[in-house]
Amino acid sequence: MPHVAQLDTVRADIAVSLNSVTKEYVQWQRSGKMKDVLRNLVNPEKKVVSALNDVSLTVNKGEFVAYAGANGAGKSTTIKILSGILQPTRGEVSVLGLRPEQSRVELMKRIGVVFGQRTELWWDQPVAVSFEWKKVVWGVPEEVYQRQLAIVTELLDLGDLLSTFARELSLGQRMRADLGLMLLHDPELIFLDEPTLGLDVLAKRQMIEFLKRINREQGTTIVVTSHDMDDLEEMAQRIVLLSHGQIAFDGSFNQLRELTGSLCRVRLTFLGDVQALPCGNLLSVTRTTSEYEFDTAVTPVKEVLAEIAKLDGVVDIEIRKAPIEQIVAELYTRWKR
Amino acid sequence: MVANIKRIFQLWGIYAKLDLLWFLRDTKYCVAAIVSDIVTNLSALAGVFLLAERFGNIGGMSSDQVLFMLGYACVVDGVILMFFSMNNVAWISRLIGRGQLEHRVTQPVPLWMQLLTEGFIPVSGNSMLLCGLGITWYALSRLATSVGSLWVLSFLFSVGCSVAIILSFSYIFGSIAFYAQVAGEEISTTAIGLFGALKTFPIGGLSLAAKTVLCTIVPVGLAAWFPANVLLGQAPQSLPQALLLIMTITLALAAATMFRKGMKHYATRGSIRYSARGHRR
Repeated sequence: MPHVAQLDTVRADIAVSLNSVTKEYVQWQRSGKMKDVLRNLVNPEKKVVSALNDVSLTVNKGEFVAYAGANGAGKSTTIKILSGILQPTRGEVSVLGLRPEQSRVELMKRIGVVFGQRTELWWDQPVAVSFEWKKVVWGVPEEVYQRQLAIVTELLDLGDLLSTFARELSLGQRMRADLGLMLLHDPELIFLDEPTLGLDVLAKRQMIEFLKRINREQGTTIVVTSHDMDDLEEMAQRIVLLSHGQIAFDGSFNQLRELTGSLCRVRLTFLGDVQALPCGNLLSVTRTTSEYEFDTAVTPVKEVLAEIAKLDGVVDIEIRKAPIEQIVAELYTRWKR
Repeated sequence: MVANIKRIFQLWGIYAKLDLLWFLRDTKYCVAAIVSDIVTNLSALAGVFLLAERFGNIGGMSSDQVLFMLGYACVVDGVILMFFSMNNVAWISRLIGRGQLEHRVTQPVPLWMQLLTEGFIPVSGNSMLLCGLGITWYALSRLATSVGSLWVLSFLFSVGCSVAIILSFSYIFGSIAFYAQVAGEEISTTAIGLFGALKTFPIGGLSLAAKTVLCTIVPVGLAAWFPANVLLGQAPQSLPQALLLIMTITLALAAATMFRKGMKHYATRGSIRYSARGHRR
């Protein structure tokens, strides 16, 4: 039965599978007018909102996937469905080969979930006590616990935090401690909902480096949501963009850039007053600097450089790709229309 | 079954440890907690003895019998405080209304087991239970009731039933928070408060209809009055002796059904709000 064997191998490689998943919410509508009060009591108007609309998605084991979208696009809903917190209205969900609503307890032993705005730490206890709590509640074997504790303590620089009360941690420290807590049972798959929200540059950097490392070295599958596209680009190899409950894009960040053309930016610094560049759109200008945007598909870099060479007094040129934030913002605007 | 019991004791163990560490986290906090517990319990004790004196010979109960009933009520409250008060487990509408059930469903433990173990605070939450046991012992020493091992078992069984009735009542009403998270957040507080306000009255002198209502629809009579009288060997003639057991099973089933329906609603609709308040001590 080679066909079946192959199918099993393929299935074994899948960490997450969403098959035509729809999640609908009912919203009560109110006009706020006195004349509608009675009607609202007897026959309230309801609106069905699709947070997810026929979404199909597969994440293979070992992947690092960014799951992004505008506010209300359905990101958190997806994470909650995958974690077994919510059930889909329609469609099939499989996480590590298990159905979350049927095998919640078993699944929770194998996955980790962190919601950036929430903490699992015991507020009035040192971090180490929360870690011990996790060991007992998750039933983590001693050798796994010691190994993971050593890893997270080193990689997340938790040494000094272990004996600190959770209530005394800064947001960045708390997030690091929460991440450490989440990883103590050595999950195969982790879901992170806005893990970098509110973190300063250093804390964000530590977190990103850590996540990349456990994905690379331990092969942990990671699905992360964030509004910060630059963070996502730095972390993930693949981006899934949601719009109005549907997958609007699924691919690499480079492929995403190509969607809006190959936008580049050139920043020119002049010795004296700025001079105009005939190609490209002017984005900003000061007395000695100017920044232009151009599409390399329309105006090749060679052509732009030739135009720059014609200008007098250019002392510095900086060419870079347009920030991913801008690309995504442009796509959100397009999808809204 | 054995594995579940072992797991329950394992979880109780870690929560007991957390409670001990919390209680001893700071000398000032520890002393303040002990002093405030002493003050609270002394005033509760004074209240109990005053009530016993006031209610003596009302509803067919002597002062000592009323004292026993009040001791029983304190034991019931003490068990709830010791086993179910941490993280608002007894006040379930707070967990539901604040969107905090999501913290529970991401743990690899069946929800019933979490709710049974998570509220355990044997160190910081034992004072009411100790006071209740003290009052009960004092009242028994003044009564002619013969206390043997069977009586002790009946006592423990009755306390368990009364606790289950109060919690079931809290969960039945608390399940409303699944459908109205903001408005229903404190409904369990009101439900448990009803028992706090009414369970210490000797209702034996009321009409049969009133007693029936207070032992079935609003079962405050089952939290102390009815079981205390049964244990004292003067079971109310007008009500069946098995009423406590019947009502415990009925209310527990109703609570389980309501809660399960609410959880289905929660899994379908999700939570419209999240508040970290009271989530972790």
